Amino acid sequence: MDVKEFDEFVKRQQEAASGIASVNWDGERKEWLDYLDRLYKKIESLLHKYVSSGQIQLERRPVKLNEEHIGAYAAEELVLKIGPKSVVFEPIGTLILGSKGRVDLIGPVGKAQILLVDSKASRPASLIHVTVGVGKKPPGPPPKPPRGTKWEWKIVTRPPERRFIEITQQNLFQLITEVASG
Amino acid sequence: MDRNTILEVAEYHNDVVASLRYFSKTSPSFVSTRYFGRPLGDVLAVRIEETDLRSAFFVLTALEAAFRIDYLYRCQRKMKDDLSRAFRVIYRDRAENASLDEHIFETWKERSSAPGPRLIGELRGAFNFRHYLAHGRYWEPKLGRKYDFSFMYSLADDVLNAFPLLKFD
Repeated sequence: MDVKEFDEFVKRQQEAASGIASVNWDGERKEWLDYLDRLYKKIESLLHKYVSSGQIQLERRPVKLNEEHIGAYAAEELVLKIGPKSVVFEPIGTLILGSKGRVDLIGPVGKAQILLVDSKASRPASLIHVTVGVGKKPPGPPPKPPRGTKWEWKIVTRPPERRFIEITQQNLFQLITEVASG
Repeated sequence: MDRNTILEVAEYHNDVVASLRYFSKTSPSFVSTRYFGRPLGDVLAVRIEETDLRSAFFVLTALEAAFRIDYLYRCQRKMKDDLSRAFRVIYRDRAENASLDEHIFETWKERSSAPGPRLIGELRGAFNFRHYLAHGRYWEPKLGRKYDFSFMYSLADDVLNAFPLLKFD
């Protein structure tokens, strides 16, 4: 590696560091936890009939998450008990590729993903794009989501299909059944 | 190696999981003889978990092949972009034996718009897990997250869609 190449390398690292420093990580964390709370409220609302009749028990439990740049912080998981079976909505984090947050639904015989994504997105494949530079000009960083992006929690259908679908009562029931009993 | 390869792994995986679920409910040998005294739910969960790990492993082998084929293509076809030029410098010393992590991923990190800490970091973490699976799982891996088939498939699918990986005709 010659001096010029090393200069470019140092410059790239500095640019990367200044990009990281300019992000309000505390704000990112708060926003993510707020969206997480909204997701749980939506699930509680969709299951209200079963919860109020005592057929399903819902409980929020504290969990600790640790993410790069944000550090360790407290969040909540949502535990759902139906008879002898339990399924857990487990928060994974906000620094997720192509999305603003992820929660996994974990049951005795399966798992599913719920992502916080641009409400217009229909597939995960549309969210990440990598380019290669020409002429020793490194390609710019991936574009940030435009201001005013409307974020929405969506269920990711199982591989290989991997499509985003809305969290409706019908889709939620289907998802819970799949991870709880197959 | 392309998306069709991981698609086939996923379809095979789903078929096996569906078969296990069906078999666990209907097979007399599963219900009575073979696992007598063990809760059926536990046996089924263990079988599904093992299937999950195996499928995750095969997805990662397909992903590794895609990166290695792209590396060879860019070296042998003498592409003019910065990534290909950097690969050719590595090729002079390492030829086909370039390290996936140290050489190929690192060069993608330096010479493309791939978000290094996140995307390349995820790839590195996933391949640490592949290393653990490929070498008999005889140690307790220090992994930053819990890996499973769904995660690996999602990562591979996203990467194969996002990266301009080249392949021979």
